[in-house]
Amino acid sequence: MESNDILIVGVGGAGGRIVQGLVGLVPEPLRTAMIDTDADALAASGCVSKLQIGSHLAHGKGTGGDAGLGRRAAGEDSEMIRGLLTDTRMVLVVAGLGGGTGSSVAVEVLKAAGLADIPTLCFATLPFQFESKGRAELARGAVPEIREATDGLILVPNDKLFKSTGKEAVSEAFPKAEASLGMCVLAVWKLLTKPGYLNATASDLAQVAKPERGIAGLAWAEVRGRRRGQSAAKQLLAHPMLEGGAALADCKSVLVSVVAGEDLTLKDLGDIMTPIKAACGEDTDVTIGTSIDPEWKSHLLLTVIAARPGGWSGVAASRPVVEQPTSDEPPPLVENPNPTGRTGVQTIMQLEPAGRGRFEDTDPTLQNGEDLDIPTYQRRGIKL
Amino acid sequence: MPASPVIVALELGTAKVIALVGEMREDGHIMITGMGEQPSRGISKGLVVDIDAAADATKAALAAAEESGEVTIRQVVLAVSGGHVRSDVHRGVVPVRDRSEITRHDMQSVMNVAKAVNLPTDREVLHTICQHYCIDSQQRVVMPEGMEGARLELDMLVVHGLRSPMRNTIKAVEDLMIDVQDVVYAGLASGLSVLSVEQKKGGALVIDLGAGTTEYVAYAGGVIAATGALGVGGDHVTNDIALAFGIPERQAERCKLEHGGAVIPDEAEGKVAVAPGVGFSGRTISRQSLLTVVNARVDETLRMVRHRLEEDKVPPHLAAGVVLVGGGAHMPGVADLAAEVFGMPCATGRPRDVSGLATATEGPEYATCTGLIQYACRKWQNRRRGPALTGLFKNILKR
Repeated sequence: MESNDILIVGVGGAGGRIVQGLVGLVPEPLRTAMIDTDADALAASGCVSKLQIGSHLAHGKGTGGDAGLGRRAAGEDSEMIRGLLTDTRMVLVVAGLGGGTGSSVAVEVLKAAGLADIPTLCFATLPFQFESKGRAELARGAVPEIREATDGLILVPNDKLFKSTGKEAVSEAFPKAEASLGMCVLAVWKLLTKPGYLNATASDLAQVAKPERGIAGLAWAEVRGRRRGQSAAKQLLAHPMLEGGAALADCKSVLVSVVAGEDLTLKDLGDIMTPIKAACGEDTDVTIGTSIDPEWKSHLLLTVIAARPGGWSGVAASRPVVEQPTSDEPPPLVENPNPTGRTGVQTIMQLEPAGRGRFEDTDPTLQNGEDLDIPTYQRRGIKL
Repeated sequence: MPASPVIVALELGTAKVIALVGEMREDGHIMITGMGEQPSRGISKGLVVDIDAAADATKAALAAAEESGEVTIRQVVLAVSGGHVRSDVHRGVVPVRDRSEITRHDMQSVMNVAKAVNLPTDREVLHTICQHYCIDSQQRVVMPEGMEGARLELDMLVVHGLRSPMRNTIKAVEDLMIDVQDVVYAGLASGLSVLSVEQKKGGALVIDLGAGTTEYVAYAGGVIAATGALGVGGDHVTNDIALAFGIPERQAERCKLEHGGAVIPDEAEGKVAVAPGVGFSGRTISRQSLLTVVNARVDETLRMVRHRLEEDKVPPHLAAGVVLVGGGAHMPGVADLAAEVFGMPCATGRPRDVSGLATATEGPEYATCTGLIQYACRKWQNRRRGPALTGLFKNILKR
């Protein structure tokens, strides 16, 4: 695929900033676009195409977290969105979920691409834990719809995008998360446009990220200098998303992509793949793709996109874990799933909870993309 | 008014199959003379999932009704439901033929235009109900015949649902060699049973809280403004409890019936004991947590109904408020919660103008079946009076 065939669309404030961050990272011209309701954010963006939607509805002021407004805005200017997609062979949509525009307009863009038979891949982030509950709910509500509309969804909570030291200022945390996702988008873009000897194609990507396989997550590591392979693999497995590599064990399929210069050696690849394969389960289907760029001498970007059927911690945790009493006292008759008072594992972000109980074998009762058979308290993130 | 023939109403609910035998007396009063009730099998979320099991349960319920009503049942009026049922308003417009006076012919042609709806191939029309006519710019004309105008419009409420699930419900009955003489949407039957003429005129919302589905029907200005169903109900409450506390379904159901409630009072402290059962040694759960789980589900369900009504542009305030029927209406606090969600007064509905067997005439869960009998009796009367011009439902549901 030529670089011109791939359109990278940033939707909403965060999506726009991430895509904007890609401009200038590579020498060749990227086909980037930003879609937003906020005129000021668009004005500040360096994307190739900028689309202000809903100017009559939002008056260029953003949606203020109103996803309905975002959707109406996209509907009003659907013609313009479709126009943006002409002469495109693949669309990468980047959105930060939780805001009014990102959460709603991303779906509309994906749908428009779907109607035009253009394959899509969507990179979406979930809000930080410290952000408001409303944002978390909005983001969670948007995910099922996006999964429906795209060929592949890669979903990462902002908290997991980079290894936090816990000391970052808020003003650092957002740019850091955004830059991290940007690297991953870039890695995919490179994989598609600058294939090395080991090819991973768009269909490989779609295979890993397709919604039926579970929720795809990603992790990345960037290294420079000597012994790149070893340190990249080590860094990657330490990535917060992979839980020290343990998360890979139950992944169905894993796509490893390596972007490096012409000095990439077979040993480097071996150093990368051996620990990753060791961390994966026996049935995991591991694909590798390389992209060689002469400009990347002694520089290596390693990304992993993996589909985990059970979901990721922070994306779709299992049911709250019952703490085992450690003392020798007889266990109390448990009246609360969390007798120690410790909060369960990210109950707020449960997208695919442990089960639908008696409705396990029935068709889901879908309403606005929500499966109503899943207990309400779980979907609403109510702690018991 | 002559007495109607004996009518058998049948509802294949998710929790229970109910068969009622009744007739309309000379004074227009409905008399229930027999009933049969059987726990359902093979039905989930209002849909038949195992036709043989559903037919068996139906057979048992009909047999019990035959015995108690001392009748032989050959045909029934059947209620259908399911989360797939929706309603839309379709407007038909025709020019008045004889420019001056509107005739029956004009009314018939506008009705045909309004009825001609384009549904997806997998859906089928259940009922077409006339709402009101408009003549030129004059809105809400009840009876346009003889009035003057150039253009006649009619708003028609079309109730439709997915074909195959409805056919399967009918088939489960027909497999027993029982004739289905009429099919009525359960939500409409419930409304018919519990609302008075005044309530319909003032505007009212009837919500049938069933085990598998939640049906609603809203009346405004004496006509049905919207109706439909959600595929969630009391079984979901039970399932939520079972999953939340890791207890078996049977215990969860008991917990719901004995300790459940739709609102969380401030003093909801203490614990609730869950009795042991097969493979389950029993435990206690916090009352607060239990009520939280139940409240979340019921609140969500009611809000979804409200949202549907907003989508269907039903006026937000209905003078006669909300009337709850169905097994879920027994849940403590549900009327308070509904009053809060809808911002209207709320009460539990009872079948009206019905006497006979005490259980069948008093419980909100029998609203659908008594409504079916009312429907069939009125239809029978209309037939005797000659063809009704504006369709059956206009005549029946407006009264």
